[in-house]
Amino acid sequence: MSIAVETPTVRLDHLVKRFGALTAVNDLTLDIGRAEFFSMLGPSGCGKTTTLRMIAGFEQPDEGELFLEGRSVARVPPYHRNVNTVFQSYALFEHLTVWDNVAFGLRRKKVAEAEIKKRVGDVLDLVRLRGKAASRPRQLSGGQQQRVALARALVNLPAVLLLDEPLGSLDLQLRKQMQIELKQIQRQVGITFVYVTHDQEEALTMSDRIAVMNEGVLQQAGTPEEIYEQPANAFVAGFIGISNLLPGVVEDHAVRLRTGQLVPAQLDSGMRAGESVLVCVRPEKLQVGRGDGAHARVEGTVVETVYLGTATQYLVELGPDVRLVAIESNVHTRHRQDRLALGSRLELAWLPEHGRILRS
Amino acid sequence: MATAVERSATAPLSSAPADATGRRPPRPRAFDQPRFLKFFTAVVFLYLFAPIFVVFLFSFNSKRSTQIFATFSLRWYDVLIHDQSMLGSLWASIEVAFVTMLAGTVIGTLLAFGLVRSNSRVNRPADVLMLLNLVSPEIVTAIALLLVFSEVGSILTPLGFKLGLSLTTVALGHITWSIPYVTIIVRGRLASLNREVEEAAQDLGATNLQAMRLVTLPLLWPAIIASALLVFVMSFDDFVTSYFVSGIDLEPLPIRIYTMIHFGVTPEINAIGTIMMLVTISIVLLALFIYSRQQRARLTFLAE
Repeated sequence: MSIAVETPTVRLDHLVKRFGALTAVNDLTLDIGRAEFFSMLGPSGCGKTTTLRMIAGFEQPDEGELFLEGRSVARVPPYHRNVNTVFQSYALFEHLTVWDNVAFGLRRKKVAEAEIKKRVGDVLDLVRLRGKAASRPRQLSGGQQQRVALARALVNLPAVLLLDEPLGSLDLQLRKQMQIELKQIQRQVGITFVYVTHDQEEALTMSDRIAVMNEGVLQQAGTPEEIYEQPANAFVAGFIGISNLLPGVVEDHAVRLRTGQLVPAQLDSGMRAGESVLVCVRPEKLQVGRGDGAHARVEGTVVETVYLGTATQYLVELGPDVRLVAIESNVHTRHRQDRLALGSRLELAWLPEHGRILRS
Repeated sequence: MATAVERSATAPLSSAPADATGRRPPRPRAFDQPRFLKFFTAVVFLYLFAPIFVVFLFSFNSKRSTQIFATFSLRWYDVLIHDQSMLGSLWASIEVAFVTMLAGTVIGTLLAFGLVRSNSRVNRPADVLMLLNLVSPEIVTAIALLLVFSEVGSILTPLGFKLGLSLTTVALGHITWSIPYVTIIVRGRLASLNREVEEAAQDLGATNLQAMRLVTLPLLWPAIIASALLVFVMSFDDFVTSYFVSGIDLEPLPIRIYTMIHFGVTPEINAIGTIMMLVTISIVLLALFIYSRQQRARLTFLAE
């Protein structure tokens, strides 16, 4: 998390960006700290890329202010901002070698040729492409091209590195590998990364903090744990991981579910009896048939089981259109007959502090 | 790790394997075993190239005859290189083609940028006008040009300028129809360029002008050069426009040849014809080579 006394590397102050009738980014306020790995997460069209392009200087905000290292950059063109971008398409210069691609930024800044030689060499070592310096981009694999794009931006040692879904076009295995690699590189160079993605798992894996956006509006910003464990609303709860959302109505220190059960709940102050809410419980927090008096308990019918290797996933129907996903670790259920059959009755229990109550 | 499975579990669980692709339908047999196709193709090519081959062959004839081939000789090439007026026309044609190439390529490229990059309301109309220019009959354009030049000439003369029919008017005429060819070729390449590449240059500290010089133009060169060579060739062997707007003092080569035929066909025409043909074909092949090599490289790059 950012430290309050330090000037944030990026400060977005009530940013608004409209394209015609569409408001792409609506009143966005965010601070991004030094050396932070910050992800902007959301479905396509949520305004995350537009925000990134405003930081880079390719788009001008219609309202609000944008500060880089404490300085307002309203009138600063992209080529004078201490910011570099890794584009989704990589946008490598096909007519130049890998070396010249990476040296492009330093040459524009009239850095001495000897220093260029050292810095380009170092950054190519960092991304393990020293041997490919003389190649053209099209002679490289997708993962290598991705690393050239990264090196080309990093070599300039920007205050902020912007990454626009940089792993989007890689296959799953390479993507996993690059996620770890990117995170390591970020730690090594200590540059602020602003990372745009629609992949919630990627954001959870890599980020120090995540901002979840939807339809141009910031839904929640926080550490991965905060976002996962204490989602601010139903959108965040549904977008990150699997969540079980049970509709109900507030009663005294409890929620009456639509299916009839009364479950104990930790209510936010200000939630009054009669208010409609959603109880949000993560699948791994649900215990299969092992609750006691301290637990919230519900009973339902198993309508599907999925064997996941390390765990078994049950889909349990509580009532019409109310279903829960529960995950039970396969410590004791090594054989098929150890698992619950379809149609069997099942009790699920959770601790009240694991059930987050969201206003619906 | 298990997200994919978990995700599908919250969605409907029974996702039937959607096999959309299926197998490709078998090709029609007629194309697998062409009975007439080979023969037909041979006839077409014979029809296309036999006359050209005759010209080529008889340019090396030792006799004056254009019907009977005697023995191989370079006699008519010798006549040709001593024919000052013919060489003058050859040089005039090259000069006109060169000027047309330069002007047409510059204007056509600028137009391509305008059509691809601007969001102006005149964009569509400009596009249609350009294509109209491309398909309008050349003889109509040529007559129109003749009228314009004589009209403008008669206005300019009292002011002390001269715009008589000359190689200048020929070049001006050629430029008018050369522009759309350049625009169409360059526009295709420009439209396929990823805008992010230019943004990347700016992101790395290049001003708009530097991004253009260091990134956009180098990526466009093959298309620009290919279209320039094409325009050179088209101007070099243009007849219609040249016929109407050239002066009497120095004629472009195709007009010179035409005039010469009035005095009977000599094998010297075969010789000059062969040279023209070789120049034209080699330039066109060069243009095709440059363009296709670039396209292929680009396609493999995109396929990665």
